[in-house]
Amino acid sequence: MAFELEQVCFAYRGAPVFRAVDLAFGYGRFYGILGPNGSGKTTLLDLACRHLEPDRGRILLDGRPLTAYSRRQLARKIALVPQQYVIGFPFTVREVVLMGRYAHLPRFTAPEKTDLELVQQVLAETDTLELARRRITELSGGERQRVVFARALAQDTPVLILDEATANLDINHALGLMRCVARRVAEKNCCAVAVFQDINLAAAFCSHMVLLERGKVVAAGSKHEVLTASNLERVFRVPARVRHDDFAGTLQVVFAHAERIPAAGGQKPC
Amino acid sequence: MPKPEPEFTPRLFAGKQLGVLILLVVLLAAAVVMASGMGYIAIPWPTVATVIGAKLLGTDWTAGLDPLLPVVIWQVRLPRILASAIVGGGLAACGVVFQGLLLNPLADPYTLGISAGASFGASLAIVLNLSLFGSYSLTLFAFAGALATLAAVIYLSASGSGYGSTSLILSGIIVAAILSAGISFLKYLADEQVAAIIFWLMGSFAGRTWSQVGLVAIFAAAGMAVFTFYGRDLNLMALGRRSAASLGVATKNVTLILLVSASLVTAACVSISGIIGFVGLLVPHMVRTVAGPDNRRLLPLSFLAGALLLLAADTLTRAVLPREVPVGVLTALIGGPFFCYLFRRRQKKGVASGL
Repeated sequence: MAFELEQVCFAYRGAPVFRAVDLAFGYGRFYGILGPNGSGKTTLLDLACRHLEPDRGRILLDGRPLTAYSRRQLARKIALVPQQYVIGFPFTVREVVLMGRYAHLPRFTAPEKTDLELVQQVLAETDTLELARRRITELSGGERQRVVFARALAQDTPVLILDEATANLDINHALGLMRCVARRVAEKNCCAVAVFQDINLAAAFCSHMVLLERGKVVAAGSKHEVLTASNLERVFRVPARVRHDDFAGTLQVVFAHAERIPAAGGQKPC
Repeated sequence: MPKPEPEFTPRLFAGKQLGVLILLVVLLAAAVVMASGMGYIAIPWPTVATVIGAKLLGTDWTAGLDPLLPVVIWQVRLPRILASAIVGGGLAACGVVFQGLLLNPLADPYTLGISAGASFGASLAIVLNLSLFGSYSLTLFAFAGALATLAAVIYLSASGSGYGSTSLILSGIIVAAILSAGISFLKYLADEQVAAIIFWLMGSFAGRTWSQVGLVAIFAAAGMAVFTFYGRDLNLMALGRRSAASLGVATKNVTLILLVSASLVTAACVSISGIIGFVGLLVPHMVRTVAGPDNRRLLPLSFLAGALLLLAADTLTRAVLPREVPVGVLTALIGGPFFCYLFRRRQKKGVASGL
């Protein structure tokens, strides 16, 4: 197991988010975290990266408590693609991606040839090679997102955590990055954990899913177990239909858009 | 696999940047010698070089010279010149650190209220006419005021997850506002010492001694060592605390270490020179246009450029202008419009520069 959460409790200033959550994430799997706004998806990722620490319970990474790792050791295990990031200074794209190698390089050591080659490779992989010499402050939101993703790949970690990493991307690049992640999971036996808003994107790429609602795990398991119409209706309160789509080549979810189908006990769409 | 572009080099100083580094070192050395020759008694630079060389090497090359000249150069001018250079360099380097740390291009060494604290301490010493520590009283009180301010700002802004840039800036503004009210009150109480307070606040290097040079040199050297050690971490933190943490930076510790060391250097600078504005804000921006945003390059280059700038400004007011203008006023008068020009030029280019 990559991650094991044991009886994890967490509260923001007294407002409980998680009460005694147990979850496990294994290598060679691509996990999608789904749930409505405020269900604790990003908090879960923050706990996994140790940006937040649980009030009670513990989180194990490779069998060792997360707190036993230094930041540097952690950065060689886990790479994060955050939802929000600050671009305050005009570093070039290549410099930003090279920062992903920070945890692998001792202080006062220039990056080696292998580091530069790895950077070159992830730039190519994320379709940012032609941006390499541009300043990150000059890029569009979607371009920056790809650069930040490239930086996470440059960390070359067994665990990859994505917080709505495709939110700013066009469909072509969103699919490209997801394929990139799926390839790492398949070829390098990585563990990927990603928060999604787009359920169909998750359905297309994830092997496993966790469905959260107000800090409770409603369902966790393989995609086929979790992604059911009843689970989705219960959590999102929108009538849903799950089926295999031949054109997409995978499971896809369709939601009822009109008001005509009232959900049992559901809220009225406004 | 595609090949890396040949012009990309991971070396810190190469090509243009190496040229700038060498140029600044040469200019600074030349400026120290030139400035030592300028003043009420003009001394040709070979004589200055001889005197300095003789003092440094302990030889008797000065034997044939007017015995007044070594005294003028070594006891009167050099302490002032070196003090202005080290303070200029220290403030500029601290500016780089604060801008990176606070994720704010408008930050400077005074953003957290260090200057207000030092001013309050100095004003207090002047008003109460304290001479507990002899001629060092003013310096020590200014330093103590700066330290107390730093402690208050750190206490106010600390939260469970570290020191956020917004809360640090806010705490600094609050503390500085209280202190400047305190300074106003001290001025109100001060009667005839008001002039002394105002003069101190405007900043000056007149009559600095070797021991003051020694004090600020120790702080600046130690500070530069710490800044250089954490230069790479500062680069990463300039792109956000969360990102930096996930890339392996122990952000909370590094923030605290850099904050305290940059504040100590600022406090030492301010306590021997008074408030000299614009160097810490302007120089990092000027150097960034040449050296790019990498703090490992920016720190040494800013130190040299800041040293050169303040040395030049102080020499201008000491030896060139018909009447001595407080150097803090001069830096703001020259630096302000230049900053406007730089800023305007970038705005016109439409480049999101982080300025």
